[in-house]
Amino acid sequence: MGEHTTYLEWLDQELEGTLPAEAAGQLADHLAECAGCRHERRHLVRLHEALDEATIPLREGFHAGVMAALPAAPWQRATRRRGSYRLAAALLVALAGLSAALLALAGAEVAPGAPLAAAASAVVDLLAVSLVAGAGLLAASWSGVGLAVGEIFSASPGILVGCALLLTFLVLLLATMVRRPRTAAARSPRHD
Amino acid sequence: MEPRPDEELVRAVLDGDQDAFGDLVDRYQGRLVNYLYRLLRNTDEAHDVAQEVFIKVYQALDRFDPRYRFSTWLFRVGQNAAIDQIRKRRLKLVSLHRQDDGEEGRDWELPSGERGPYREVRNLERGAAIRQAIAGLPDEYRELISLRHFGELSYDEIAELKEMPLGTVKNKLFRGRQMLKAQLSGFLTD
Repeated sequence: MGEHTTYLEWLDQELEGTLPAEAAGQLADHLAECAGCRHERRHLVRLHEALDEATIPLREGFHAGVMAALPAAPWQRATRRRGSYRLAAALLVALAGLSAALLALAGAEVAPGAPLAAAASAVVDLLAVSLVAGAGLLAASWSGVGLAVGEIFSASPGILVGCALLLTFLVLLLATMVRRPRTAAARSPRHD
Repeated sequence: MEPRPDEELVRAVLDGDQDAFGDLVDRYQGRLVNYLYRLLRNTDEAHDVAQEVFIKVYQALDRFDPRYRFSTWLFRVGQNAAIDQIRKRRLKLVSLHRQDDGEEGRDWELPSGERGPYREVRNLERGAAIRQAIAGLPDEYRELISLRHFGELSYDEIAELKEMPLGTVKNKLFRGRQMLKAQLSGFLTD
């Protein structure tokens, strides 16, 4: 009985193509003598055939349907984003190079002996003037905002409510635009 | 010409060649649909879930771990999707056996070289018997039989997918086939 169980396992492996050659030789010898195991083998062969044949046909147009339904994958969008960042960075570097060249040329005209020092000094002066101008503009802007708010508060309650509603609407609109849509299909499949 | 390995096709897709994904779909569509059909026992659902699985896998392709096989990843996603689908069905309180009607029986008709009413009736009977025999297997055996014979995965792939030792996979498949053979003995005789 135990011997036949081993041969049954070997028959199974033989039909799956996983039986080692040495065992295959022993099995062939046994099959030549054992009618019971030959009978088992015939049944196993038919079972394999029946299982192989018991498949359902694919729905017509299934492949085309899958390909047509493929959305833009997140990794495709990331690639595109990387591309756009690279373009922006390249433009920035080109502009910086151009600016440096122009500064060096201008510096050479002002101080032929030390063009780089002259250019650096000019940039520092430019930044200092920009800071002063910016601070002045900011102060003026806040004064303007203060005057406008003062006018609103001193105006009728209707205008005040109208301004509050407009502000709320703008905040909600901004929140809607910023929020990222998330669909079920976009969730990644489980790997575990 | 040797077919391109799955991993090479995945790399090609990630490099922008969408046709390479078409090749992967072509390679696995029949096997995945048939595997899902054994789990869901419904032709339309098997196709719909298979399509969903291909889309999910496509969207997550950049997260595919090349240390594992693409096939085992695909079938694992398929297995999870089938489980989700069965849960949805339960939520809808629909019987799992509602598809045991004539429409499904037709899928199990087996081709025959011989013609004639007797042979056709016998094929129908055998198809129904195989369906019942597979459905009657304990879950772990039914799943392995489905992965092997309908998903056409190798023993190694099944062991990787199910995280089982290779010897256990072989043993369970052997036992599963013995159970089927015992149940179908009347249809496997001369």
